[in-house]
Amino acid sequence: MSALVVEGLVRRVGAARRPVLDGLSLRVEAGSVAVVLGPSGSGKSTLLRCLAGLEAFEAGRVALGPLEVAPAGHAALLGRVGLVFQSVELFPHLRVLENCTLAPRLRGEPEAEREARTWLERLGLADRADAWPQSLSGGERQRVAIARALSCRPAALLWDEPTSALDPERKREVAGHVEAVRAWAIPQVVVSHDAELSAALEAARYRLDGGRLTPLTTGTG
Amino acid sequence: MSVVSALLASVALAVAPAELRWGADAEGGAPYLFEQPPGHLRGFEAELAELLATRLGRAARHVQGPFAQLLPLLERGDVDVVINGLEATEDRGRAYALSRPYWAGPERLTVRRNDPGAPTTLDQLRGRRVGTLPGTLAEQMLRSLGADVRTYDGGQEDPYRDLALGRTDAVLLDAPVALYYGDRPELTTLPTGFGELRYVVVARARDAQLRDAVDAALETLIRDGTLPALLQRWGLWTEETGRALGVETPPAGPAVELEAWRARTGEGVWSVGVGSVLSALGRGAAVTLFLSLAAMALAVMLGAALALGRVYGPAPFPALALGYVELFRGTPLLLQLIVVYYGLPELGIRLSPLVAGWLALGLNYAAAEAENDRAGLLAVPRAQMDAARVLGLGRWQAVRHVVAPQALRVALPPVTNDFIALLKDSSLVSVVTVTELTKTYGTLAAATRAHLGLGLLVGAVYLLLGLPFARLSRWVERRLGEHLEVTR
Repeated sequence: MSALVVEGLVRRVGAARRPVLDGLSLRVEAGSVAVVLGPSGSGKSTLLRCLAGLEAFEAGRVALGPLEVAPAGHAALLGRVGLVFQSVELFPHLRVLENCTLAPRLRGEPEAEREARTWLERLGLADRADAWPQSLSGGERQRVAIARALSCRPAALLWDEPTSALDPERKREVAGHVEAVRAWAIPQVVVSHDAELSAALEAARYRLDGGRLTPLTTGTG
Repeated sequence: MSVVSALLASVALAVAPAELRWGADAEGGAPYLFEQPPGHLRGFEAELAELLATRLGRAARHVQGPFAQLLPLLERGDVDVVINGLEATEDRGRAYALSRPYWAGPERLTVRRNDPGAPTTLDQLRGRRVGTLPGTLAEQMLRSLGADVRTYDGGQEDPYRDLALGRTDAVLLDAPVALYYGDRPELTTLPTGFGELRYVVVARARDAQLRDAVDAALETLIRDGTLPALLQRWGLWTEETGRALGVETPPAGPAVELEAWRARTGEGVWSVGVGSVLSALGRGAAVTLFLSLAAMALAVMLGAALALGRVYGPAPFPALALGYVELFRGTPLLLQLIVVYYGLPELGIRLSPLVAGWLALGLNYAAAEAENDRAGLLAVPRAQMDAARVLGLGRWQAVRHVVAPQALRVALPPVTNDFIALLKDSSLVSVVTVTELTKTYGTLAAATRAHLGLGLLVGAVYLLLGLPFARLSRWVERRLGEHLEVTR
């Protein structure tokens, strides 16, 4: 597996073309975790949306193994990078297993269901495969979202404020999930303003400020 | 090759003048044209059309059309002649080829029997509320007299009913109408007539040859006594008719048809037979249901395409979809229907009545469905689209597998509502000669004069047609909303 490399990323928004990301660079090795801290509105979500391929960027490049993405080519990242949304965003009209198999099935992968069941089992959701998302607890829903992302075999996994909707006991579980994904040797980026989560992870820590990342002294840097 | 040319020849023969297509409105009623029993045409003009066609060596085929649309149908080429109590006027003589008259007589004034202030002369009609039928010579007379004219589209019974109820002060109409519908106990028709009308067969101006053939046929029917005897049986012989037809001795014999009509009055709707009423309503209901289902299918498909184009389409599509919705939602369905049927032939597009009705209803309702679907699409959070795209679904895959199924649940209840509205609006297609349920009602009511009982019956049929779809929709809604009913 390969590292996630971001160089000189610029993203401007609004009529004033204000740069939310202003030459941002980041390198995350396969199997490593980067935690990006910062207050609301600092551009954390924009960074994740650019890395996932949902938003264009004006300058810079993103590299993920053999994939090199220049400005205007951001859509190439879609389907390659997993994103666990802050609001989870399960598909409410599909059962748990169908949530996980939809994308692989549409890509024509014959092993879609077996693979999805494996991920659900690993995340302790084996008996929930036929449940509707609405019937699950908040923690279970997030685990389905993780299983859904991993069923697509992403080359990197991004987490957007993964603890914001959870009670304290569940928050501790999230750190465990991030650690578990490490075993699949892909780079992970966790965006959060939760110091507790940050402290529980063995990760490089950055602060997003003025459109760039500043390494924080604690941790492995 | 020879087979093909033989086929073509037989087709040409079938289309060529083997038929005499004559236009008339069966909802107009006795004595001109009515259905008795339902599905069986009666009336002195039905008999006249048969006689004329036989003389011309053709088969008579009646084409149903609303009275006000008969001349447009003639222009459009849907009928060869109109035979429906149309008066010879100077204007008509300039625009059409008119035959010699087949009936002549006066306008008759009918008033309430116990009304001391009832008008008795034409001059007294100035400023009074007077009922008549639209597009008739009587209407023109009343307008030039300065009367407060009320016209009725629903048939010949209505003006007299309103007069009896005191909503008008008098009714001025052709003598045959007064004879057949003005004979209510509360009403009296004045013995003196006003003016003179002459009923003629109307053909297209360029069909003068056909008109001449009709004239020759009429001449024969007058000379051998067939037409005078026919008019006498219907109680329609008048001095004016004798002069117009050049017949000196009036025909003898009882007015059997008029007596039969009067004997039936008050017997109610079932007098014509339960089976025939039900089968007529069944036919009308089948047309209504078939047309509504086909139009709704078109509306749902086109509406979905419009909504998708408006919400997700690239540059020109959202504006085009918006323009379509505004155009079809902002103009009356009746106007669209008339333009499709009578207007498009000017561009060389001639649609059959059923296709024109289907198209107009479908195109109109597509605008409503597009708005329902758009509301459904917008009700799905944007992040659902993002989640699908991140998983690698293409834009249209995401719409189809993630957004649309969720949007459908929001859009479905108003769609059912629209279907029931369409079921009712389909009654408008009677203006393009389709005989659906409401038109069947009008025709039956004109023949049996049982407006209330039949109206309740037909209302019940509409309810029965709509209810299964309301049930079906609730079931589908439950299925689509299955995932929302689970409790934690």
